[in-house]
Amino acid sequence: MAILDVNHLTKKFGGLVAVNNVSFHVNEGDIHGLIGPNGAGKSTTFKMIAGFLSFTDGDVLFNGVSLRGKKPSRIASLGVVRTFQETTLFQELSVFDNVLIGNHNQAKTNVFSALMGLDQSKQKDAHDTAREVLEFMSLWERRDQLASELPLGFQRTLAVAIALASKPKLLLLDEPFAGMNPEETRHMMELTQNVRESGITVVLVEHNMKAVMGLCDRLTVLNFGTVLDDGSPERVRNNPDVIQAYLGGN
Amino acid sequence: MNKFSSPSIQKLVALGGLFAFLIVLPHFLKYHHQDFLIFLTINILVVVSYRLVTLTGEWSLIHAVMMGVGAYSSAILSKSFGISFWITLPLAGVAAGSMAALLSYPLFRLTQFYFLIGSFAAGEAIRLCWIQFIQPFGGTGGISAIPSPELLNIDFLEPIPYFYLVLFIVSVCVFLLYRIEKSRIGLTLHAVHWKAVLAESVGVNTWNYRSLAFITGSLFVGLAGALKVHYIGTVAPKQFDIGFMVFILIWVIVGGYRTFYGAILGAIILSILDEIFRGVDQLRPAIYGATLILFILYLPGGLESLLQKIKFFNPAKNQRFT
Repeated sequence: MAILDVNHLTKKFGGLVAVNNVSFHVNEGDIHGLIGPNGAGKSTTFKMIAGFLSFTDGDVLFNGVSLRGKKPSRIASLGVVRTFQETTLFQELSVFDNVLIGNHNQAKTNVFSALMGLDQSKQKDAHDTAREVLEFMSLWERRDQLASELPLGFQRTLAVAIALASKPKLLLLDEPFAGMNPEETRHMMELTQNVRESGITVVLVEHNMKAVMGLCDRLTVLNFGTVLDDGSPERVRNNPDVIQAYLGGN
Repeated sequence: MNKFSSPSIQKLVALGGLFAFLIVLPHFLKYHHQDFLIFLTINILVVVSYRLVTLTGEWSLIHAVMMGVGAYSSAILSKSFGISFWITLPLAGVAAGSMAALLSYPLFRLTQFYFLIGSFAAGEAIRLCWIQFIQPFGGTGGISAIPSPELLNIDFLEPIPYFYLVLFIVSVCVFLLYRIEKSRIGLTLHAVHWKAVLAESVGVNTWNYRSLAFITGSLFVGLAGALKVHYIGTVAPKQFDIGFMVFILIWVIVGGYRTFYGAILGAIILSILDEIFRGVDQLRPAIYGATLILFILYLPGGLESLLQKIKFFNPAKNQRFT
């Protein structure tokens, strides 16, 4: 069953067509890869799904609900949560507080409840969730460290932990393996598998072919803003058009 | 989670001592120093409410005018409609809060410098209305003979009873603002300030939180405005001009904006310094300016960084939410 339907999605920047009539779907429970050479429109598509860019045309349906024109915070509340390519964290806060902010939808309160302390049980639940997520991501021992003090690999896992704390149904990972060494890549692949096994569908944009092939159930290949191929890693790997798009030449 | 269930005994004792001191203090002061104490206490509410607005990272230039919105509302309601101070005071907060809610729509389409300029322009527009619309605002001269509060047989024209009233209201407001900052809302405002996109990506509606801080901060400064004009008895556009706004900014920056008490320190110490040099009026602006430059040069962390060197104030915990 498709959890995400991308229908004829188009994005124009002035005269430039970055994404042209792209359609694909993501099955619930899959790890779905969005790949393609530089400038293929992967990131643009990714940002449009998460609400960080408006669409010129087409639509994205999440469980049948249109995401068109919705703010990122609204889309996140529906259960579609993205991570960021560059390490985007609350650097000056502790690891624990970072994850706690990820809990926003569970813990949000109003001024009156906050003043009267009526939200205490809610806040306690949010703390429990934060703890679960940190244990799940093997970050619990580092909960009191400042985010800025973490090694790069842990910063990346923390970014995923923040997203997980918001209890997504669909997690969008933007180049999760970029700049990682083989050891860190292996760790992140393992974590991504665990995330999927916990029942969350994953879509990732990635350049690291080895990781993508080993991890994804299905792939959508973009080139020059259009879908070049869509299918299992085996099928995509053997498609001559895909090989040509990556290696160039005729 | 509740940080208020177990405040340490020392802190409670210190707080109790502070209040005892403040209650006794005015009896040892001269008349004009008692006035000074009242204005200083009101200004503490001004800077603390401004701090809530700045928590989202947006420094506005409209806070002084919002104080004026509260002041004018309370003045007009009590003078022209004969409504009691005890009702016009909360209404002053509601008026300033509503004005802020209205202004949120245009202003929060802007960020950073554009927001700063936009908030200045909006503030000047409101202030010029007070000057242009003689009815009901009284023009440049403003409104005078604003009734003072009435309760039992207490004479609130006298500084000491009025000081106690101000001390009580300001303490309650400062406590409420402290609770907001230390609650989940404070954590979210912090997130909106430092990484708005990341906050938005996990479901924080950043627009809502920016305006929430702006509205709440304006509501409290509206109360401060009402407190001020019911004491001096007059309200005029000059009291809330950009000059006063600059003082608010200076108090917050010199005091320090990393901790809750930084702005309070800034307001107290700079006001006292200014008061000390009252005798040498020609030199006062120069001395004030020089002190500012010295503070910024030698204490870039603000006055709060001095206090943090004393262990009692427990620097590590000030930054923490959990």
